[in-house]
Amino acid sequence: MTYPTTGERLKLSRRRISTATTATSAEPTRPPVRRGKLLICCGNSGEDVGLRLLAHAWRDGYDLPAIFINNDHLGPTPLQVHVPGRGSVSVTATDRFVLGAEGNTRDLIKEYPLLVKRYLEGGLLRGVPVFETYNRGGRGGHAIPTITVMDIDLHIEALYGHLRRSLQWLSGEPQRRTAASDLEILLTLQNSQQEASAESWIIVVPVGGTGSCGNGCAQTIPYLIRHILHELGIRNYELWLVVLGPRAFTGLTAYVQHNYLALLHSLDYMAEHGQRRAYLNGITIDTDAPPCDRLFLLDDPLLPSQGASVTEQEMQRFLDRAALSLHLLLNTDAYDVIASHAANPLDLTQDQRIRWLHTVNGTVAGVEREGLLELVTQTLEARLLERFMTRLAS
Amino acid sequence: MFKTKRPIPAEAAPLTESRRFLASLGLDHTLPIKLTRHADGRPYQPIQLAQVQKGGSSQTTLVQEMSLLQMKKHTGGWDTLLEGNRVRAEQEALHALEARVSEGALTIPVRPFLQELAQEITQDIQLLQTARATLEQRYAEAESNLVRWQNEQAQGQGLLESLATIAQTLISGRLTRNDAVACWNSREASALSCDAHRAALTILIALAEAVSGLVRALDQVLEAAESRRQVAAGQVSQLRQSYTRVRGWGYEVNPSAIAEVLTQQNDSRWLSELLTALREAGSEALIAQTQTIARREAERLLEGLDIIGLIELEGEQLARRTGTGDAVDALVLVGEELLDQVRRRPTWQLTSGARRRVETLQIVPQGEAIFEHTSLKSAAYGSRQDRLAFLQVEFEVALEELRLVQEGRALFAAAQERREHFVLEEVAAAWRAASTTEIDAPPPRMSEPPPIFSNGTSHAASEAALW
Repeated sequence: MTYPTTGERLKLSRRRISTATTATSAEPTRPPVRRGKLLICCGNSGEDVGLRLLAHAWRDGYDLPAIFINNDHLGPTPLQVHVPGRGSVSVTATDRFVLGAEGNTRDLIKEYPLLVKRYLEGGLLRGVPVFETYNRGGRGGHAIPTITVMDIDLHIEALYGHLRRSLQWLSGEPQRRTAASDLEILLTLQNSQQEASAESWIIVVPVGGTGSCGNGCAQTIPYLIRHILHELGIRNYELWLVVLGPRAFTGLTAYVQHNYLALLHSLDYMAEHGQRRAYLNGITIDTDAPPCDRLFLLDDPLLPSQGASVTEQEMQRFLDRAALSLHLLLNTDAYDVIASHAANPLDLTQDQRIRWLHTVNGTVAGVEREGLLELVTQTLEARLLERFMTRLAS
Repeated sequence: MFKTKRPIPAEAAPLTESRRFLASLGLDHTLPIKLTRHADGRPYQPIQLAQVQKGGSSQTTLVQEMSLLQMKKHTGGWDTLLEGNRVRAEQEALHALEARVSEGALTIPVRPFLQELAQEITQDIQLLQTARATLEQRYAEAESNLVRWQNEQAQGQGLLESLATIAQTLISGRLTRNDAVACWNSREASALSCDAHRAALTILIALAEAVSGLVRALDQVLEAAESRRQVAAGQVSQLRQSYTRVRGWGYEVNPSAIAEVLTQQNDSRWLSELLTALREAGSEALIAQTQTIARREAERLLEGLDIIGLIELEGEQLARRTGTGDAVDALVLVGEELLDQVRRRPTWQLTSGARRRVETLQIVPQGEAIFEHTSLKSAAYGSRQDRLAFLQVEFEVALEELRLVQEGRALFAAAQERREHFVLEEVAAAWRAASTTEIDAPPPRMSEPPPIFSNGTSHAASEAALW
């Protein structure tokens, strides 16, 4: 299938439903496997997409467990969403872990020989002026992924513990996280029923690929996840990495393209070779596993529409669309339909390349049913009263 | 019996509903007469004395008549019958009024009916009062004459003398006995009529008070209804104005259009149910009952509507409003638009030689395909029936098939020379090793460094169409 270059639109027609098609097949169909979902949202764009995924889930009437990781204290902007039965509620990133403390990251690594060897002697800060890495902890990574990875190294103990507590929930242990509101409690209780019947898990890690935190997390967090899940004895999962950008973030920093390409090359390398990395808390990642089971790349090649930089509105629309596409893939039966095909890869070109990149693109037509119900109710009430008065008075 | 005189026009005007109502209850000019009837329909007969016959009456009859003629007041005796009939008629009228108003059997709205009824009752009261005044005057005349005759008789010495005086009265011009009898009979009849008219007036006044009370109660209810209607209408307006589209959706059903279509139906059962509920619970329950009915019916109207039904409903409403008829299938139009949004807004760019697998799905309620197309698979949205989506997944692409990787290879290599962009020492080392040994083919030479990303696709039209 190629993208149309002319103005033609794909023509659709209604499917004629005949009695023959609704006849039961000879063999009974099996119900689709119920999969639980867990979001681990890293970096600003990852958190923004994660919050939108939560909003879609809440709008559809269920909860989506999510944790948020960033090295910027400033969290994503809350979203307002209509929840069935509860009206308009605010979706916020509640379970949030912020990397970084006071002090300059580059100075702090000098206290640890492992990190000195890695970053100073090993050349990972080659050509990076000290000024660019002279950030205050918890204020972001200044578009330099190395800062985030240094933050991860420096705070691995806390980060690892947080991840472990979050992932421990997948094994069925009740204490996951405290709910911040009555609505969260209700939705979590409802979700626990889904969890009980979940047969496998999809852990989704959305990240921005062009900045600091998402980029750095994408190359480290997935292996930490795999390590923890292995420790917990959890095998029935798929790990998805969703990388956003780069065109959608054009002009935001000077390193958009460079960071993104470096990330892709790094992921591609690890898809072939795995990872070997030691951490200060004593754990060592030494695995031949790829960083993730599926790598989704989501971008908007048509951006920026004008000029050299995307506008805030364009970026927000891109994030809206990315989240919606992921929501449709994750939270409908679409993946069940696709998964069987994806499990049997075809070597289309027989070129021995690792063909593990995916993208997803979706859109939806819908209605805010709660709002519609309220509007119909109020309209009916007004009209009933009108008829009542007409019947009685004039 | 005095008959109420009513003006009769040359051509009889059609009876108003209130007049028909009153007539059905017997509350017309014959009411005083009806009130003096026994249960079997026989009219009550007041005592009436006979005139003196030419041949004379028996001495016993004359004695009885004389004692009656001497009575200062009328004999009466009809009070119990009259009162019983009055109470019965009054209760029947009040019950009938309540039933007529509450059961919705009126051909005209309730308030105009009550106003009309009040006017008719007022007219009837006036007529009865006029008639009663005439009757009372007649009674007074009859009594006055009778008292004069009684006084004249009292001047006589005895009965025989009185009898003789009667004969003499005929000769002398004084009231004769027959005159006295006529007066006595007139007094009796007038008294009965007066009392009957008084009873009829009592019924009509009670009915008028009931009507007045109903009008007052109705006005209160109508005021409350209007107040609440304004609140509801204001909330409708606010809901329509404050409605915000869901971010990211490619198409959103217009809730105002759906509300407009669904609430246009004039289901008389709703109003009947409301009136019945008010009869049982009282008018104070108007607001609560209206809200209960509205919420229940809104849920019922929306319950069976999935996204297909909603889009079709919106299409019908638009067609009706614009007069476009059934030329366009709204569902197909929406489906084509959604699919076009997906196909015309790619999420990556691949090299011309890239090969990948593509799956395009329609995600629909129940999972059963809505659209026929060889390239479309179908999947169920899930529990929501009010969503319709299209999803395209491309997979099994290699890194080298990404255009930005191909186009950015040279520039990235140059940038990497200047500073380290990798964050993992293993990867950085591998890149250095690869660059040093040139295992991969050197990057393509270009006449001028191309931008890392090219944007040769026209997007303005798609942008406008999408957003």
